[in-house]
Amino acid sequence: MKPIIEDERELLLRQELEIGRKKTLADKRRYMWGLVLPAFLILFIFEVFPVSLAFWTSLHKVTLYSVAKPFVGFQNYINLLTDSHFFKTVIPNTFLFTFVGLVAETCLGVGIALLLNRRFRGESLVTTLLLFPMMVAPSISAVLFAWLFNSQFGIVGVAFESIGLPRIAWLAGRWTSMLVIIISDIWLWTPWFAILILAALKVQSPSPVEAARIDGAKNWQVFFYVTLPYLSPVLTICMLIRTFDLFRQFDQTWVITTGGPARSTEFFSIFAYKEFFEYTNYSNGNAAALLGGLVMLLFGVIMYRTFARLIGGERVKN
Amino acid sequence: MEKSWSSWKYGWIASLLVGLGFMVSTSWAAPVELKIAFQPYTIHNQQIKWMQKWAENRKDVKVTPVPLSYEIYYAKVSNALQSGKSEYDVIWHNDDWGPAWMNYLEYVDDVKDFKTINSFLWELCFKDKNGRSTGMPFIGTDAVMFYRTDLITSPPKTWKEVQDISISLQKEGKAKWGYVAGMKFPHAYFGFLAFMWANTGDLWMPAYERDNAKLQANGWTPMVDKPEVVEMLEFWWDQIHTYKTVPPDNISYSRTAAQAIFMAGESIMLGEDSLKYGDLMDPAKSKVAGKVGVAPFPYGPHGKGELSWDVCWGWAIPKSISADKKKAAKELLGYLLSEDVQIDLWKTTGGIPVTGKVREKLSKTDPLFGKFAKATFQAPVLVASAYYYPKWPESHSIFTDYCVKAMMGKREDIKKVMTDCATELKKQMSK
Repeated sequence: MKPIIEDERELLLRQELEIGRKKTLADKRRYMWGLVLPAFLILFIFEVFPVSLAFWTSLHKVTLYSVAKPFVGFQNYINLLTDSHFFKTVIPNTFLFTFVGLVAETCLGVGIALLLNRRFRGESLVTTLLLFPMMVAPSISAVLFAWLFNSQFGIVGVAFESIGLPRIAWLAGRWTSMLVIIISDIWLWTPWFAILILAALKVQSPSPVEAARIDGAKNWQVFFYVTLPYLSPVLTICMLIRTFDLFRQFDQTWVITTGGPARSTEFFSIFAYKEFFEYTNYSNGNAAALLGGLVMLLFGVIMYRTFARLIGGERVKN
Repeated sequence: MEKSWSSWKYGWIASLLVGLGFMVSTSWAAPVELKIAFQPYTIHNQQIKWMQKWAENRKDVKVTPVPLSYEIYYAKVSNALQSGKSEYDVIWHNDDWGPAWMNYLEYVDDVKDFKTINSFLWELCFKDKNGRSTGMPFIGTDAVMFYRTDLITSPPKTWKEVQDISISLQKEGKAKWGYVAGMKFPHAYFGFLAFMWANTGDLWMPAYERDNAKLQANGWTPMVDKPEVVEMLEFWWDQIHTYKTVPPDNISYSRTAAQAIFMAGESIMLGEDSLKYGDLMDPAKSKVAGKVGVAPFPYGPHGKGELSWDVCWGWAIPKSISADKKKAAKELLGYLLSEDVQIDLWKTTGGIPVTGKVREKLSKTDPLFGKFAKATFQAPVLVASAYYYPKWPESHSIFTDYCVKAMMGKREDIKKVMTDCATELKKQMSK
């Protein structure tokens, strides 16, 4: 039997330990909050708050020139979904541009990467030159393309004339304008694809390719059955990122056509911008932007699943 | 762990104190800074030059120009005003943005010499419900048709003459194009809009009415599908597609693109603001320097005479800036109305001064100004080149886009396209 005095000491010691443990835990929590708080604040200020504000605005009628901001429920969304221009022009343009741009940039990017995936003299120079479009700001490249395709002063018109073809008023028609925008985007972003795919190819083990060749596989068979499945994770991520980029493309289109002629090359982003900034219908602009975000999210999920299934899905899923 | 937290805590507090100390010390030491939002354009550059000159003579004020491109100017400044804490202290103000911005702007009619400004320049666009002005005009943006004096001795007065001169000089190989002007939004003033007004057409009925109450009483009835407007579009369609006197992609031109064609010596006529005269006559920039004349806009079959407009561009001060900045900004604006600045504005750019006394003085002393006066504010027909209701930027955009659409389709569809435009405008006003 322990003396009473020892029991008291033990009790005191335990109490002190308990207090110490609680204090340490509280300190730990504070320390953790100290670490997380700046990131949380940044996320809240720049992400959560603006999106919430945009959603609030989309449920009210907010304009530059009116002080009143009456609640209108989902009327702005209904206006948008019943706007024939939005459905007949904006949505088809956005999807068409995304699809054509993505396919062209992916194919060209893979092609260029395969061409460069070998040892040759001037390899580093060619790779550096390939990076050149990526060093140019999209709006600057757009100015360049607008002037290249200008029917009066553009070099494209001169080239056409030199081979006996008539000059084309590229920016006076819907499809020719769209073509100029797509070409400028391909010029700007194909190198990005090429560089990333080239990086993946450079670290590819030569064994599977050599084994396939020993088994008598032809070049196209090596590409489709060995190289492409190997590239599938990189390709999936690249295509997913570019899909989002293409879907919300703004700067090049704005500089080259401003959505014209007669709003015929308007994409989602241009439509939202015009509603918001040109017409100062803040509610409609926010509704369009949020709806665009939602469509992009759904589209992204579908794309990811489709790619995963189409090109070596198991590796992507894992 | 306790030590870590303490050092975090003290770190935060120390950073805050250093930040606060820095803010306090800089605000005590620095002069009042006026950030000027403007578009990099000939007349603005002239104004900035004089603003900086004014600031150089004062130690207590610093002028910081913030150039913004025309395409994004309205959007950017609207957003700044609406934020309730404008990042700009003095803003360039276009007449047709008056109603949209007036709730956010300080009264400037107490600026020195404001009363010398021709009142019609600000009453229509900047006057609010209290009868006070929210903008200070600094230049008359008066429209003219520039023409090549080496190719034509007297400028065309009617659309028919424009067409005939263009065809004739094209055949002779003296010019590639007849008339060029910006046509895409928001550059269509000297193409679609000027020619529409020169055929007594307008967006709303009755034509040329700018009193919103009267337009409201008339039920905001569009005029864009009426013969006066349809004829204007048929004229342009013919020039682009039938006679090819206008470049085929003119519908996608900004004002800058159209001006480039004229300055390259490739067209006979150009629709623009009078204040472009300085650029056109600069041999370093223009192949047609020394060969440029001015005239009002030719009129169409329904027209009653050659046309121009005498409206203004101004400066304004956001309500949300501090009192000391407002005081400095008003002093600066007062300086811009001085005779030296106004005369220099005319001499360096071809812009029409806003004060009656300077206009009068120049009319007497400068023969070139006399020619400009006849082509602009003394033209047979004068219109207001915009509407002054808050939704005007949207109406303007709708109208321009439908005009472009009409040019892209068949000639016989023009009427139908403009009927759709009328429906769209009506819908816009009822929203």
